Parts: sequence; structure tokens; C-alpha cells
Amino acid sequence: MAAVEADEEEATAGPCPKDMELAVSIINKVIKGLNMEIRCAQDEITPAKYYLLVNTVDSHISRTFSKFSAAELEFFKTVLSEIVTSEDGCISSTACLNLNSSLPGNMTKSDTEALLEKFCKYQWLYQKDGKVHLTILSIVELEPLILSAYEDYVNICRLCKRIVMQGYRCDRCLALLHLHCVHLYTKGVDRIHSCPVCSADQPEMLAAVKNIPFHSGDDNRIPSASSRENKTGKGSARK
Amino acid sequence: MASQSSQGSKLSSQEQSALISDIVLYILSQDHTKYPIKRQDIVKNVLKTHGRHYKHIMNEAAHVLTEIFGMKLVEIEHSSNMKQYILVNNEQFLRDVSDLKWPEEVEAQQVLLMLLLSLIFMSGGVVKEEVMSSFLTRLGIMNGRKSHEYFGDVWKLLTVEFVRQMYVEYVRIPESNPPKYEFRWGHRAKGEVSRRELLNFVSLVYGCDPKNWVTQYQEVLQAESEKEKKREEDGK
Repeated sequence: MAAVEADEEEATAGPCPKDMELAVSIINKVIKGLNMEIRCAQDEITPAKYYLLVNTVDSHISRTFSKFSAAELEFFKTVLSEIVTSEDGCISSTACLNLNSSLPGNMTKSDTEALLEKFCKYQWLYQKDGKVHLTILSIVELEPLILSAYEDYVNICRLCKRIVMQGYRCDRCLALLHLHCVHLYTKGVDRIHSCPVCSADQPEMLAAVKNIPFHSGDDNRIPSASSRENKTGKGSARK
Repeated sequence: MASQSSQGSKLSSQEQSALISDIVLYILSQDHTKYPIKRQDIVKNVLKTHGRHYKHIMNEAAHVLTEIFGMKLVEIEHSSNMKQYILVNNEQFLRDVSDLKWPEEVEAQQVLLMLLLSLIFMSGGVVKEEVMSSFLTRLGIMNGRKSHEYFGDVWKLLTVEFVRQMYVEYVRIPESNPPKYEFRWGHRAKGEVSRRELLNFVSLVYGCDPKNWVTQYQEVLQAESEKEKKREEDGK
């Protein structure tokens, strides 16, 4: 539904992360009855942290009265499908524009381009360097759908147990991990060269996360209202 | 997924909660367009067969909107049968929201609105369309009917979109022949826009004290005291 950068709250003098966590959990208790929830998640690339207001139920209200028509939502589903089943968690913009041919109705290329921009405007997708990606908002809000409909394709980061589309891939066991999860993991100095999943030697791993602007002085836990989240967030690999 | 509706005239509390939450969601998502929400649409799309519970459920929904979302549901009298609503910020949170990001076209519209609502306010509440037109032309925002790079089709925004969103009224001057039109503040502007902020903005531009604008400052005070009164009444 909506995304706000967690940074903006932390940067202004005043509430600290603990207050934020408390505020979010109070709000969530109240909006639970309205089938809404605030979740916290980290963008896979940037890697800014966000607060996301999501619908927890795919009700007829959110579908029928959305800003997008049924045909437009169908297009989105197709794009979603392509991205989730792709090798590197994104598809080229040109491939995306060609997807209109597989859909009923008369969508021209320029219609499709305009629609793509509309999805970007409302933060369902984003485009960068000729590629189309799912935003963190889409990944989080559509998590139940992605997990059930794309069970065989979806990757789960073994460090945080959440969906991962783009990240670091071990070249031995092929596990895909979030860059920010690897970053946390490599803080344990004796582990910087081994894959958290299979312990294979991964000399490139540290370099892969070195140049990314992670926040310093982080509270390592990502605040969450959901009890199934891994609360320690220390990224220890489960054997 | 829909629960069996009870045969009697009473709704179970579960059905009630579901309807209330559906209405709240409907209103929140519809208000995004800023167009007024019609009562008949609410009944048709959300309540459906439970139309007779409208009054009670709307009260509860309005309560949720105010208490949880800080938004006031304001009823607009259209024609006698057509009730309409808009959501207005209940103004309990005066925190600076300048770091919220909006899509560029929304930002452009907010700027444009600020300018025209200011002009109308400073001109005593009414502005003839020629005056508005020349004001915007002098600012370089309007150039005949050409589309502006940043603001878009300005005249269409003023006379169609903003009217539909109830920010301004664009009404024909009675007995004018050929027909001439004038601009006034719309219902949404009256509920949403802070006259004090506008006066401060104008005073900044002219480099003077807001109190210098005696009439306008009086209006600011009056509007604020009315809002205070209304808030106390609602709180009871």
C-alpha cells in the first residue's frame, strides 16, 4: 500500500528505534482488525530500510477498487511471474514490453510503456539500467501469493528466512542470500570467507558487500510484529 | 468467504466489523483520487444487501477514520438525495511533513493549488476568471492554452480537475451574458487548507507581517475559532 524510509524517522532527533518499534507494534494491534499491518523490510539493492503498510488480506475491496483495471492487474501478474521465475530476479524492460502480446485485449507497446511507468509511480515496480524489478513493497505485500503460487521457483534467504530475489549466490551450493544479511554475517570476523549455508570457501563474498552503504550503528534486529520472524537477526546459519 | 447474512434485521458483531472495515478501506482508497465519495456508491459496492444498516455502520466507520487515521469524514450536501463525502485531515498532527515524497505531478498540483487558493483568499474570497488567468500568465505558468512543462494543462486543472476534487468552485456569474465565470474556494479547501499558512506564505513573499493584512488576518482568526468550537462539539 505505502512505503516510508525508516531513515527519516531515525535521522530526526527524538524517537529512537525502540520507540519506533513500540509505536509500530501498538499501531499494528489496532489496525489488525482492518486487515492491515506495518512491516519493516530492507530493500535488496539500496539497501534502505522501509516501513511498509500492507493489506494482509486480498479482499474484494482492495482488488475491485484499486487504481488499476483488471486488465492492468493481469499484466502485473504476468510481469510478477516472469520476475519470480527469472534467474536473477529481474527482467529486461524490452522483454517486459513484449509481454503485452501474451495478454488478451489490445495493449499497444506505448500503452504498455505507460502502464509500466504507472506501476513505477505507485511503487509496485522499479526500473533501473534497462531492467524491471519488484519493489520491496511488492515483495512484502505479495509474499503469501509468491510463496504459494511460485513455491518451486522462489528463493528463501537462509539467513533471515524471507524471500530473496537478488543478492549473493554461493557458487558451490547455489544458495541465494540477501546482501544485507551477508553483510551482518561477515561481521563475525572468522566467517568472512565461508558460505553461511555450506561453508564452502567464498573469497569473493566480502568484496560483494563491501561497497554498499549499509547503516552504521544499526540495531541489528529488524523490528517486526510477526512472531514468526527470526528475532535475533544475527544471521547464524541453521545447520 | 462472505459470511452468511442473518435473516433478521440485526447483524452479528462479526458481520458488522467486517462491513465497517470494508467501508473504511473503501473510503481510504477512494479518497486517494480526491473526488467526493457518493453515498450510493458506498451502498452499492460495499454494503450491498445491508443498505438498511447504513447509518449505524457509517457512524462507526467515521469513528474509526477519526480515531485511528486522524481523518474526518465530511458530508457534502450535493442535491437533496445525493450525499457525498470527502476525507479531511483532522489536523491534530502539526508535524512538518516536508520530507514526505509525492509523485512529481502531485507536487506540481500542490504548488498550483497553493497559488490559486492564495489569490482567491487575498482577493476576498472571489476571483474573476480573467484576473486568475492574467495572474497565472504573469507568473509564467500559463501561456494561452499551451501545456506547461511542469504544471501540465493548467486551465484544465483549474476548471475541471480541482473543481471535481472540490478544491475550487468555478461558477458562472449570474446574469452574465456572454457567460463569465469566477473562482471561489471549494469545500475541500475550506476543510483542508490552513488559512494561516496561506497568509504566512503571502506575507513571506511580500516581506511583511501577516497582521498587516487586517481583513485576512481576521478571517484566519475566525476560521480557527470555528474549528476549535467544532472540535469541542465533536469531542462531546
